[in-house]
Amino acid sequence: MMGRMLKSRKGALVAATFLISGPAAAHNYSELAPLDPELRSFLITLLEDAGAVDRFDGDPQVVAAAGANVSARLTAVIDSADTLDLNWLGAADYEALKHPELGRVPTGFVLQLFIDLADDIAHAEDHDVSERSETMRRDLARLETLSNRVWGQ
Amino acid sequence: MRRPLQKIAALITGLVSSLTFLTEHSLAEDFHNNDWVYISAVHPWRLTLLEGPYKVGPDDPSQFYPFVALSTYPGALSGSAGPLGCLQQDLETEEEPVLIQRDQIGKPKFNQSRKFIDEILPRLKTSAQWMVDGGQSFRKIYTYDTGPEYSVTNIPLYGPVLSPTGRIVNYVGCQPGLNFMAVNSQLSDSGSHFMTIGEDAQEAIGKPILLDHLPTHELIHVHQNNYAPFKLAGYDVKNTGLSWIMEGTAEAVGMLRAHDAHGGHKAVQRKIGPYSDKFYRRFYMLRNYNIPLNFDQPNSRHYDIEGLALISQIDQRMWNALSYETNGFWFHVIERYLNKDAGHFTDLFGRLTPSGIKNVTRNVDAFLDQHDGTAMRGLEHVYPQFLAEFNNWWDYRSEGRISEKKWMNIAYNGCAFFDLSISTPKDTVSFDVSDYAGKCIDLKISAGAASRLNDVQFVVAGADQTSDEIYLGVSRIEGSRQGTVTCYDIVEQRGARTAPCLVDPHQGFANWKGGTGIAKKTLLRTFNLTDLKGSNGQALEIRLVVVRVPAEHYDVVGKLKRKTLDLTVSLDLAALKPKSKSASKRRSVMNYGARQGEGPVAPDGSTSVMNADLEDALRGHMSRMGAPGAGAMMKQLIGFELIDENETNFSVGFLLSEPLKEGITGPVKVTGIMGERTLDGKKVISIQNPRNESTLDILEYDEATLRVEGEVNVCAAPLSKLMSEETSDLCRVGEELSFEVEGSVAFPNLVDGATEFTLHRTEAYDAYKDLRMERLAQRGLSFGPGSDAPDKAPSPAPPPLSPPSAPDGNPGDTLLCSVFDDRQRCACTCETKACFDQKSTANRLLPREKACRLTCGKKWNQCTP
Repeated sequence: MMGRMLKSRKGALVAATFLISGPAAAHNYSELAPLDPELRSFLITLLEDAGAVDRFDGDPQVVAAAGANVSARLTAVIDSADTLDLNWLGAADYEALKHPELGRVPTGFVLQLFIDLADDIAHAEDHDVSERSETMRRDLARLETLSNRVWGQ
Repeated sequence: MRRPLQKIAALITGLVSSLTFLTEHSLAEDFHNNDWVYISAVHPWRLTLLEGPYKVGPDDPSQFYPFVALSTYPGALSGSAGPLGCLQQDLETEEEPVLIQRDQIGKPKFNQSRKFIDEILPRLKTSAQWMVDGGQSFRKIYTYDTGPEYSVTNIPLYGPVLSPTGRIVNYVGCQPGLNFMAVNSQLSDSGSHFMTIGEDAQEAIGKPILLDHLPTHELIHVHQNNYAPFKLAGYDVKNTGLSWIMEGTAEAVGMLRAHDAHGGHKAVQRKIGPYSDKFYRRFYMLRNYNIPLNFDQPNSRHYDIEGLALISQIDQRMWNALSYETNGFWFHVIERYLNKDAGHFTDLFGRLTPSGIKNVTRNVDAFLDQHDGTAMRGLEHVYPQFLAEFNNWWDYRSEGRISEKKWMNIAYNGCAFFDLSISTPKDTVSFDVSDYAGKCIDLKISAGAASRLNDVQFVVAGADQTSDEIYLGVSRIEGSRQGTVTCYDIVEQRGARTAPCLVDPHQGFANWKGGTGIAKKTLLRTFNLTDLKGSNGQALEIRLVVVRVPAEHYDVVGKLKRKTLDLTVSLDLAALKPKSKSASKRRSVMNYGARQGEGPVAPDGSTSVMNADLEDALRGHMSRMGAPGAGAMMKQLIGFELIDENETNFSVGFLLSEPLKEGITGPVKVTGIMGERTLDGKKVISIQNPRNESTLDILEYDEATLRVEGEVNVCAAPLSKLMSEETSDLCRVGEELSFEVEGSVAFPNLVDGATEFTLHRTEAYDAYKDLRMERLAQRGLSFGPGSDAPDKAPSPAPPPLSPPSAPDGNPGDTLLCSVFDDRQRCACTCETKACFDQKSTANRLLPREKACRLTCGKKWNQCTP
């Protein structure tokens, strides 16, 4: 225990009692922060590579029912992910999915990142095109391509 | 650098405002009834926030002045009706300690909404009150008793200075860079609390559920900070895994508060946004349990994996989520073990002493030991029981807001799947599981197999003999004669105190999958799910969870200890083929030697059957009747138990001329036998029909299954008739009987006491067994509702899993009898035999009641029919 400490400085008597302890406890809702563009781009790459081998292509009925928005269609693709999709994701060879402490980044967590991606895209779609960053415009275009050519096909 | 006069003026100005402020706000005694005061400044020790231990000495007065010398809400920016400016002293450019004043600090770092402050301040008050009055029993914070207030002392030649003297004020201030809210984590045993509000917090305006959740979460941190003994001492922050406790409990209590304030759990779930809405994601209490429950990063390494930018980002997002998302586990603890009084967590926080935090998981275990029920050990039972129930939450807790598939995919990366049938009665799946992590299992048994199913056996073989750490929970059974049974419903009805969803274990060393010799023996833990008859024409689907919890608890900080598990599932199936001369719809149960379809839990002890009680039988203390030892008989007798026209059990089987060897297939030489039976009211004896050989074909025989089909041909006649006739030919004086049977025996070589699979007891195993005994003593071992509800008052609505009423208008009269005595031992009287027979006829015997036949068989045979 550090105990009670008194400190005198420049004749000023400033009494304070302090104790040192550990890190702060925060309720920061960090998950509310948008995906970093680099991570966002990586997730889209994952979806593109998956689509190239007919994985994460979505149940046609579910995707069709989702409407035209890319974010909604992406959500439908995530919701209809099946065992084959998860197996592909669990085995996909990407350095970013090899965590130095966890080993393989859990597939379930990557799904959460996909859900974050859909949320970010929904935000972008809700705002004026002029408000989108260049990287967001690029990423949205990539997803639109996927949406048109792969998802629900 | 400012001139001295300017500094003095600034000092005095600050002090005046502080004095006013302190007079108004520093009279309360503790945080439960103390008003919270907003000041538009960052905490002076902001460097502690999210950046590890303090970098500034605690006695540095430069860190003290601004804390107490700021304007208070609502006067943060004088004359302003707009947003509140959040002021931050620029410590890098200030060479001398000065008081922050709005006139000198320059532009605010950011603005906060008055509306948000108006919303949050009263909620801090009411939430704090709820913590002590709202069914909660959070203790008061003792350090407040002698806390200081701040007063001014006039120092000659220098002027007035501030010093603390006696009372506490709860401050809420600003934190640039923070998104929402935080609590400064240092403890001053005589200082004030400082809660901070970040730049995005105002996004919670218009979200009343969130607005109630946020301050409660932070108040729990205040409570933690003031109650955890380790806070009173310096400690090494490296290698401590506290986050899952600190954030998980705060988050869970925040949920409880939100439920209380907004009409209950279901109402909240209906009002919140979808899972994709990040504001409300935590309300779903969903987490990936492929990552250990207590996994923490070393506090010395915050979000810093150099050179791996993408991994670093993923890492950061995971860490930001995982500890908070243990809220489901902690909510379960509050709801199922603490009677919804989260104030019991104070006991847990109190265990976090400087030595206690060296292994917080062990302290969680000890805490749960005190709250989880009489026979339950702590974490190793509570956690698997939680996951078994958690697998139902997508349905019961999300109000249809998230699909089952999505829930299981996120929680377990999808489930391992077994697809079993008559021709494929066994399968093995391998997967990796870390300590304190789980894996869900989906088991589908075809309709054909389900209709002739006796039980399902599981064998877990873990790398490095880790099977002792494996627990198996049942989450849901669909397609049984009871309809759909879920762990959630069972817990709602029975309570969780005997972990009713965990499956009974047995364990021992055995040669497994090619391993031979003592050195290669594998520790196997087996599990048995019994009484699983399927409904006609419907597949049986079972969802389970495999959970690994080490016997010696430790904090998982850093690398995971993943181990590969082989889970083999095998079915005990038996049936009479339709063309059999015996009734085609008769029930049949597969035996293998002396083993009944109750799983590899066979007697191996020294207590004789006649002297043994139920506990002896279930713990394996009992000797086998006439057992020849190393299993010769076990490999020479295959039996089927059938039920005759009078609903009485009898057996037929094959006596093998020589023991079966693993791997053999094809026809083997057998003699047909039939056990004791009554025909036309008379007991008969039987022999192999000399004119019609019995046949047995071994279709498959390995360590997981023995699959056979064959025909038992016997002649049977009452002994009296044999005596009265001139001939001794049973076939002539009696009748020829033929039974065409097929089936499979699960794990034929794992029969305790009869094969090389003797019980291996460990402390963890015995604790698991104790749990089973406790459950048996209370209400039966089957996965389903008990006949009573001792842990809680019965629901006014009919229990969804209650047995159906008897059709004669006397609901369950005959089924309310008991075959046990007051001590829950089998009572071997003729009255209990009548009870046994009644229940047997109604197919309503519980497995534990069935076991009484073993204990009482000889005595019951002497009863008059």
